[in-house]
Amino acid sequence: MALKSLIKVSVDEAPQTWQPGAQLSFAATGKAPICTIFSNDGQRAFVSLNPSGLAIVDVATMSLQNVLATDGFVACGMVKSTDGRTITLAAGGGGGHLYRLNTATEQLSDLGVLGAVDWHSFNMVPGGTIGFGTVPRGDELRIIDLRGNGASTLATLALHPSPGTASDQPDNMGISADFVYVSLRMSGKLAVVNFPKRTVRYVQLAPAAPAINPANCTGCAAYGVTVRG
Amino acid sequence: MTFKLLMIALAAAIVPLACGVATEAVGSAAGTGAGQNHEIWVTLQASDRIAILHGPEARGALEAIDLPAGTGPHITTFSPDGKYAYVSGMGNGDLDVIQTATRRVVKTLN
Repeated sequence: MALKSLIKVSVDEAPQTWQPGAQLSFAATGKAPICTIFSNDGQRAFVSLNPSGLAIVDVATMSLQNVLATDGFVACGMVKSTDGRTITLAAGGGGGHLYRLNTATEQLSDLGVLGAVDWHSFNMVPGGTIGFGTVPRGDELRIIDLRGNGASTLATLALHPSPGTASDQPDNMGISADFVYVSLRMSGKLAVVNFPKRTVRYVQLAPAAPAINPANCTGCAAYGVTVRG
Repeated sequence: MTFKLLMIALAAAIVPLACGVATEAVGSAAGTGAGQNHEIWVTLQASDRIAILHGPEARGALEAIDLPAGTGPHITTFSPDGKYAYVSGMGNGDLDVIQTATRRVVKTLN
């Protein structure tokens, strides 16, 4: 990120071989690559940039093909549809600005803004009908209706077990079946959300953070949530 | 042999950085991990630790993997078969490869 470069690593897991290979510098754009999602054929990498934009990278040649403009920073919330034809993503502008990328045409369509007090991450159910967004300074989770041509808030769920304002700060998410798992970066908890029932249970994983840097989550008590299996 | 590509945002030794990681089998659909056991991995960035919760409701046993001081684990991505976890280090700029069966770091790229 500080070097504004993207590295391709060739992997052969059987003999446990990981070999760094070609690099792509983003220095000319003045932006840092953050998260990557691939097209189904593996030929394109879509890379979110900080402070804004979505880069399209040809994987074979590691060359930058295009940078699509976005309304603010797209964190690691980029989710591919089950058929691979689209990727839904959310930028931080407007308190959650959602887009859908057509992976064939490599163009973004605008799904609208949600107007939260701020925004961090996005995730979505496999069928693509319901999305989720975290609002750190609002200590809330947005449940998003994605069934139409645009995005709208279906419900807002407070993820705020700690006293004070922005004392929990929902951030990254994982999804499995009826559950969304949300890290609370300030309070060090994991929120286990049953979203059809709108119930929440908290698990304390780490001591609360005295202070954090939201730009890179330095000091965050809890951050990345990934479901395995 | 299973060849995959792994993309990382380049880490620096001096200036700690964020890095995102994505894995994918070349020429196939994206994987999300296909292990038999449901696990939730959470990076505890300030504690240099990964917490692993079990079961859909996270009511099972709680495990932890400790990483070297200063790692600052940020994001975890699994290989398509779920046998390896790739953990980006915000603090030291490293990429740790963890064998999920043993919970051990088998490789560190820096």
